[in-house]
This record gives sequence, structure tokens and C-alpha cells, in this order.
Amino acid sequence: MSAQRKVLVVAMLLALLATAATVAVTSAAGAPATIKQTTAPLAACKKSSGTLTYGIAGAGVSQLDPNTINFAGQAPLQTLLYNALTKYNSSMVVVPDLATSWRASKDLKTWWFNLRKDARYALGRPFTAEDARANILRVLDPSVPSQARSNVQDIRSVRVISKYQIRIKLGSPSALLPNALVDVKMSDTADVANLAKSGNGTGPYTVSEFIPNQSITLVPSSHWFGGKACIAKIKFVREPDSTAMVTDFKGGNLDMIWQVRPTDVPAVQSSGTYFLQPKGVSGAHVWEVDTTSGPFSDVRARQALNYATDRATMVKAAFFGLATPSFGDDLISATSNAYNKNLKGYKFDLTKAKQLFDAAGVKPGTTFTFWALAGRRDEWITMAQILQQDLQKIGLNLDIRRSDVSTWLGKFYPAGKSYPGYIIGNYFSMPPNPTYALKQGQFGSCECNWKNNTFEALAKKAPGVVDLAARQKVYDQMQSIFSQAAPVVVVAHQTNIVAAQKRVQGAWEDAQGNVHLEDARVAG
Amino acid sequence: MARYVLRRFLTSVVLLLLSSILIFLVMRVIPGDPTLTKLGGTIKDVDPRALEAIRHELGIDRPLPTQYLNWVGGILHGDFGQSYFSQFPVTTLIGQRIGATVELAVMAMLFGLAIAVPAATLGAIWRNRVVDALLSGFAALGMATPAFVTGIVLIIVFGLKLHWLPTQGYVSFQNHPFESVKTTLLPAITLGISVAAPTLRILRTSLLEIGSASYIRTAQGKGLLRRQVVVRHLLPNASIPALTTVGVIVGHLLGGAVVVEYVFARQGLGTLLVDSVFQRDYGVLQALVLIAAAAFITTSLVVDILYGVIDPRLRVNPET
Amino acid sequence: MSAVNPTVPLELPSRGVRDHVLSRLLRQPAAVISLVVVGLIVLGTFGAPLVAPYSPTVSDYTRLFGPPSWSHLLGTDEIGRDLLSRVLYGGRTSLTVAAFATVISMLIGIAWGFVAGLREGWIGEILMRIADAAMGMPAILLGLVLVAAFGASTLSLILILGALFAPATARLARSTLLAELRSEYHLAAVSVGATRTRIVITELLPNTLPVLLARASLVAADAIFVEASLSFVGLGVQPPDASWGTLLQQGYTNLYRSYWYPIFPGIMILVAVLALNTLGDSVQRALDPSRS
Repeated sequence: MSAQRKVLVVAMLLALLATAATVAVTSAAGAPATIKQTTAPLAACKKSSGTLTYGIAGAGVSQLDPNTINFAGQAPLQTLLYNALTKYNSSMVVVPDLATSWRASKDLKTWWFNLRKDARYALGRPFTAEDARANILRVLDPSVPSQARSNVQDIRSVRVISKYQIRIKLGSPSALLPNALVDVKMSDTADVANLAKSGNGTGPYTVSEFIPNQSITLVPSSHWFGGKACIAKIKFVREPDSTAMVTDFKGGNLDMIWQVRPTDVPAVQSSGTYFLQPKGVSGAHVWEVDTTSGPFSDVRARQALNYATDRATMVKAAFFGLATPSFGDDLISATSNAYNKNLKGYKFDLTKAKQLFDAAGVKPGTTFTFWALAGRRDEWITMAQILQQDLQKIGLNLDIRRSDVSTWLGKFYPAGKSYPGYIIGNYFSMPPNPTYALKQGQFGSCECNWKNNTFEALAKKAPGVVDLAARQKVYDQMQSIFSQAAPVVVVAHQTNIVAAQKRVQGAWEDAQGNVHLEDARVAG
Repeated sequence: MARYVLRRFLTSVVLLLLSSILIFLVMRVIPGDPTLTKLGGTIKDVDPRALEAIRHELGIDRPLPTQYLNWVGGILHGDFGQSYFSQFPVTTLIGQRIGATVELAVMAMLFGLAIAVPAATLGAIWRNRVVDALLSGFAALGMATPAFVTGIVLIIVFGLKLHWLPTQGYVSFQNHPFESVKTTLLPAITLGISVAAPTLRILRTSLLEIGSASYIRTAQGKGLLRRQVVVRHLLPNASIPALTTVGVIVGHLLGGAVVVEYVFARQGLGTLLVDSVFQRDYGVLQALVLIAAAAFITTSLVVDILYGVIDPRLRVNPET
Repeated sequence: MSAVNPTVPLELPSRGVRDHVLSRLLRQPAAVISLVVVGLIVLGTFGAPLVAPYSPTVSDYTRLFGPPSWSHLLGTDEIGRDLLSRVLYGGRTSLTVAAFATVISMLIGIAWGFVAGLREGWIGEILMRIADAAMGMPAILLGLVLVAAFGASTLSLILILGALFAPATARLARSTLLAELRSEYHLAAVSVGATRTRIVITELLPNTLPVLLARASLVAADAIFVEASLSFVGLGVQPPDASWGTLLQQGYTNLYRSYWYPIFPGIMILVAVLALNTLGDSVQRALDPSRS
């Protein structure tokens, strides 16, 4: 054996050895996960101590303006840096935040809010009714892209009654205004130009360092009306991908990780860690189609797609059972109280799917395109490949395409674009209130461009119905219409999985999958 | 000599200008719109007025030539523009991250040289077939392993299993030099291995070429020890042609830095670059690529001039 | 990642000696081994329909993330497809992409380099400076931008990788050409009165080709390498097609669920790149023994 040959063999053996070392050091799959409870609410803190490092995979915090937030990963910042008039407590009840009390007129169209007098922005500027009004108007401004706007759209006027009282007038009666105002965070509108980078709010923490898309560090705010914030330093860091995030969590470099993928749950689980117990379903994985053009403008084609979707296998393969399949093609999850149990389901039936596709004029050999994201949401690709194999059995083709975020969005967003023959993988966030959840099927909201006048009318009516049983009837009707028309394919509902080391206490996850750290503390 | 320098300088300036136009146009041609990425896809009921307002704020609703001239005008005033997403000026963003990248590059280069130079020297001194083969084998292996694979293996072994070193994050050198080096160690080793391989190759080739030169044989004939011949005559002369490949090595270093920073979640110019491509953050991307092009062109120019100074033969026929 | 300093031209052996290049090549053990390895890989992957035990797109839903077993030697993937078959078919994709990308980059690079070499003055200078600037940018970045522009698909990947490697080839082509222009038989051809085109086709091209072909092996190795990197960020070939790069990425994504998944694609990439690099080096060494 010549020297060079020896070397080549050694080189290859070394390579094998290195990879075998990796084999030895990474652990294999374990038993299915159990999601554990968090601890009960804790007492207020006497001093700020400890560091909490929070990991987010795939994307970072790019800007801090609370009125234009568009990334769920930075939701904790909304309650760490800012306050709104109202907020949810860990039992998902609407309680006072900057507003100490409120009342409504009998017709539910006029509301008065009394504000607390000791809230301050950075540099000591006090929060007053003027600020409340300015923030609400800013969210209502159509030229400001705000997620909260659709829920407060019906506000007709906001008036400053006194320094610490405002009056809001609505166009139609609504019992849900305090709920809607939870998301209108009170930013420092005296400093609009710097909102994206300053993080200036009335909340318990303030920004000490911000590197956009990379990391943000928070320290307790000296002018918070609640006294002392519990943690001395909170750092949000961006991890390149989920596997790296899990690696760092297991290594002890991260204290909490957001949006753990089902495939990583056994690896994350250990005696020193626990999962936050979410209060409701965080969101739905859906497939959107364009109901105004191409093959899917025919309702039969959409129903056919529903019948061709093997949801049970997809949940098993992509989510390891940690999601709820949606047999009724319903925006509301089957685990929710507001779910319409009388929906006719779409069981997985390829024969029926073929019949309906034929009736809709979709000839064998037609190719659809599945449009997905690169680098994120690998679960969609798993599900799409299952769909691909199933469609092939009935003579149809599915091309799977992954693109980067910008190209992906450009195809179908915002609502109103035409994309015949595309099936777009998307994720609908599920707010706890059914009114807001069902809103996502409405025209202008849904990128599926579906317009059903009955659905729209019912959507407008629901918030004004005070009797809960009667309101539920409205919701049932809306779900039934949606299920029949099948404007999108709701594949499964999932809750956001958030893991934490045992030394983190007081963190909780709301019904929309957002993490709340404002009551959190770090032991040791 | 003066004509040579002037010619190179002028071509460099023209090239820089062309690069700026090219970068500007390419960004506008690529599909995908920073407006939509700014909205993130989660904001429903988007009013067309909101889209217009964003476009106006970003300045992308104006005709292309105006945008270009505004941009160039700003640069000549030292204003490289703003990020489309974070409102931070590009210079601030670069300032936040350049320290990390420079530290990584310097440490990686040191590692790379620490591996490559002794290895190449020893190889030249011993001239043993086994050693030689081992060296080329190592170089080949180093170049066959993608940096992200090396990085991930190191993270899992040293970070997760052995808990010796931190696997992400960055502490600036000014504040805590020791901590800073600790956070940079794993990425630097990864990048160092990646860079050592081509460096070793080039040094070895260079040494072999010069090794057959007649003055080396004279030195050996004089009775000098092999070791002395290598260190006193071979190395210094071999490093001159190796200089021309500085550009190639630096290219490898910077390219590898992009991947390594990404894998180790390190704030650096590499991650800034990748993010701005995915987000279509024209503001940042244009400025960054222009700066990179300028740096590269300047480096080539300087190296070429230096080379011309060192080796007079080149001034006569620069095509050699 | 190129092996040899592309700016220093090789001394080409005169015609008579060139016939011994092949024998010189075969005398190097490293060359023989790498040839065999490359041959095996090509046979295994392009013969996948015959060699692979299963179809790469058929799922077995009862065996998701199955560990290596007698029925599935490398285990199964996230929807129960046999990994050994996926690796073999994936190799076909990787090598096809690499081969086409190499051919395209050679064609573009040679044309570019020759034009720059044959035209003295500003044009040649600018062309080469553009090549320099393109080489200075990290390949990953250029790749990302181009994929963002043209979408990720097998075809666009081939074109993008071809474009990515053309500048280095252009530089090599040009410097080799310039060395040729100074040779004696070129002067002879010119003095005889042969036209430019004739000289290029009958003299210059055949003489520079061996050097450039040696480079082809290295470009192919690079292509596999860069394709793996692009796939790692999700911008490689589209499912259900797979390449070693996308398999590596999928395996890494599911690292904690099945540690065996990324190992085999990773090893294949390593071995293929190593073998192609060694082969390329050996050919270059065979062409110019003074450099070995």
C-alpha cells in the first residue's frame, strides 16, 4: 500500500469516525411527549435578579413598534415593554391594565375608560388620555399596517373627556371592545419617528441593547408603575434553525425556547425542563386556494381537495400526533367550546375526491402547485408530499415549490391577488374569541378571496349579541357555511409548544400561542 | 510604473461605479418586495393606502434613476441610507456587527496560518512521501467538508456534550476580552480549518515550485542544512507568489465567515448580508455589497501595486 | 475552494510528451483510487433504478423515521421512504446538477477567458476585472441572490452554479491562452498566415483543453459543495426530488429524532468531493510533472 493510498484510506476513515462520533453523541427518539402544567401565580418581586435567555428560531426581532408588530415570536415584548388599556391574565380573563375601570352604555355603542395616573414613559413623561387617543387613532389609520386594526375597525370616535378619561363611540353594538383593546398597545406617540428602534413604553422593562434581527436585551424599567420587575436581564436571541435552538437549550445556553417543533419534543423533554400549558389552540395549518380564479373557483374542486387530504396520516407524520386534525374543514378547533359539533365531515376518500374533481372539470393530468416556505415549516413539506402521493393515485400532479419569504408572500398576499392552480401553505393564528378567529374567513382578510354575503352579515352581527347561547348559534351558522364552501382547507389545529428550564417560573402561554413573561422570574 | 498604477486605479474606479449600478438594478429586478416582507404576511385587511405609505416611506415609489442618484448622493455625504425594516441607519447596523466579523476573521486566519505554515514548512523540510501525502490528504479533507458540517459537529461535541465552550452569542472585545475570545473560539476553529486547507495547498505548491529553482540547489550545495535552506531561502521567496493569492484566501475567509456566522448565530456582517437578501432590505444590501466590492477592489489594487514594487519584472509585463 | 492558484499558468508539455500523460496519471495510486471511487459512485447513482431496493417516492406510513434494519439498510425518512434508495437517487440528482453546471461553467468560462485573452487593451482588462470582482464575492451570497431571482428548481440551480464557477474558469482559460500565445508553434502558425479563427480552433483550443479539463473535476466537486450549502438553507431541488444536499438538510432538521438520517448523505458528499478533488489534482500533476 503506497503512502498516498494509505492517506486516502485514513482520510475516509477519519470522516467516518467523525460522523460516528456524532452518532454516539446525539440521542435517539424517546417516548411520546406529555405536556405539563405550569405553577400557580406567584407573589410580587422585591428585587430584580437572574438572567433569562429566550431563543427564537429562524427569524429575529426586526423592529419594536408595537402597533405594527407582525411577528409572533416577538409577542413577549408587547407585554414586557408596553401596556394597553386592558390585558389578559393567565386565566384568559380581560382585566385592567392602563385603564382602571370601564363602563358601557345600554346599547353597547358608547364606552368610557378611566385611566391610571401613575404610568410613565421613558424619561418620565406621564401617560395620559391624549396618548390613549393618539394610539387608538394610529391603529385605525389605514396607512399604518396594524394587526390590531381589524378588531377595532368599528370605532367611530375617540374623545378625551379629562386628563385620565376617554370616551369611545362604536358604529355597531359590541360587548367585545375591552377584548379588542388588549392589542392596542400604548406606544410613545410623541416619538413616532423612533418607534421602530426605541421600544419606549410604560411597561416593566426597557431596552438596553437592540441588534435588529439578532438579539435584544431588556432590563427593568425604573419608572414602571408596578414597582420592581422580577428579572435583572432578559435576552431574546435568534437561532439559525430549530435544531440549533434545541441544541443550545439542551446545553443550558437557553432558558426558554419558542415554537418547539413536534419532531424535537422528545429531545427537549428532560427532568430539568417543562412545557408551558397553553390556554387554547394557537393556530391552524391551512391550505389557501384562490376562490376567484382557476380550478378552485368551483366549490366542488375545493371540496374534492378536502376529501383528498389524508389528515390523520399528516398529523401522525408531520406532527407526531401533537395536533388536532380538522375533519369539518372548520376554522374553529374541535377542542374549542365554540366548535360546531354538527358539521358534516370530510373524511379521507379518494374516490369521492376524484368524482368531485371530475364534476368540477379538473381533467386527469392537471398539475397543481404547492407553494411553501424554504427553511421554515418543514411540516408543510411532509404534508404536501403525502398529498402529492395521494393526488397521483387519482391522476393529478402536485409540484412542490419552496421559496424564501419575500417571493412566497408576493404570490398571494395581501388579499386580492389571483393565483389559479396554486395551493398555498399558510398558518392562521387563532385568537381565543371565535369572532376574531372566524374573521379570517372574511373577504379582505382571507387571501382566498372568498365572499359570502350571509357569512359577512353574521360576522357583523355576532359581537353585538349579548346572550352567549344566541351568539353561539351565530357562530355555528358561520362555521357551517364555511365548511360547505370550503374556501380554504383547514388541515389541523396546533398549539404552540414552548419549553422552559425548571428555574424559570411564572411564564405562561395565552390562548393564541403568545408567551407572557411579565410575571416571570428566574430562580437561582 | 506610474502608468501601470494609474491604469489599474482608473479601471478600479470604473468597476466600482459599474458595481454600484449593477447591485442597484439586480435588487430591483429580483422578485419579492420589501413592502410585503415588512408586513410579514400576518397583518390582514391591508389597506392599499398602507402599502403606498410604506412604499413612500422607503422611497421606492420614485423612478429608478432618481432613487439611484439619491443613493449615490447620500453616499458621497457619508450617508449610506437606512434599513427598510429597523429604521436604523446602515452605518449603525454595520458598526454593531463589524467587530464580531473582524474578530472572527482575524482569529480564523491565525488558526489557519498556525496550521498551514508549519505544516507546509515541515513538509518542505522533510520531503517525506508519507508526510507529503498526509498533508495533501488533510488539505483535501478540509476542503471536502462544508463549513456548516464542521461547525455543527463542533457545536454538538464541545458545546452540548462537553460543555466547554459557548455555542452562540457574542461579547465585544472591548468589554470582556476573555469572554469575547471564548465565544469566538468555536467559530474561529471552524473557519480556520476551512481556510487552512486552501492556504496549505497554495503554500505547498509555491514551495515546490521555488524548490526546484537553481538558487535553492546552490544553497544546498553550499552545505546548508535542509532546515536552514527552507527557512532562509525557500520560505521568503515562496511567499511572494503566494501574495497574489491573498485575494483568493480572503475571499474564502469572508465567504466562509458568512456560513459560520449563520451556523453559530453570531452577530456579524455575514448574517446581516444573508438577512437582507431574504428580506429584500435593499437599503442594507446595496450598501453592504458596495462596501464589499470596494474593499475587494482596493485590496486587489494594493496587492497588485505591492507586487509590482517587489517584483520589478511585473512592471514591464503585467500579464505574467 | 479551487485547488491550484489559477493565475499562474502551467507549463504545457510539448505534443510528443503528452501521450505519456495518461500513463503518468495511472501511475499515481491516488488517481487510480479516486477514478475507481468516482466510477463506483456514478455507477451506483445512475444505475439507481437497478440498484435501489425501493422506489424513492413510495411511502410506508407504518415506518416513519425507521432506524436502519435488514429491510431498510439505512432506515426510513419522515414519510416512510427508504433512505438508501433516496441517497442513490439523490446522488443521481446531485451528480447531474454538478455535471451540467460544470459543462456550462466551462463553456462560459472558456469563451469569456479566450475573448479577454485575444483582445488586448481595455476590453480584456475590464472583462478580467469583472471576473475578479465576481470571484471576490462569497459564492453563497451570489447563489442566494440568484436563487431568489430565478426560483429554486433543478434547472435554475444548474444555471446558477454554472454562472457561479465561470469566472474562475475564465481566469484560468485566459492565462493558459496567453501562455500558448507565446509558444513556438503559435508563432509558426501566425507566420504561415493562418487566420485567427483557424488558429483558435486548430491550435489554441486543443492545447489548452487538457488543463481546462483538469479543472473540470475540481469545478464538479465545488458544484456538489455549493449545492449542499444552498440546500442547507432550503433553496435546493424541490421535493419529492432529493439531492444529497437536501437529504443532509432534512436529516439535520430531524437530527434529534433520527441521528442516522444525515450521516449517509453527508458521507456521500464528503467522499464524492474528496474523490473529484483528488482526481483533478492528479490530472494536473500528470500534465506537469515539475509541479508534483
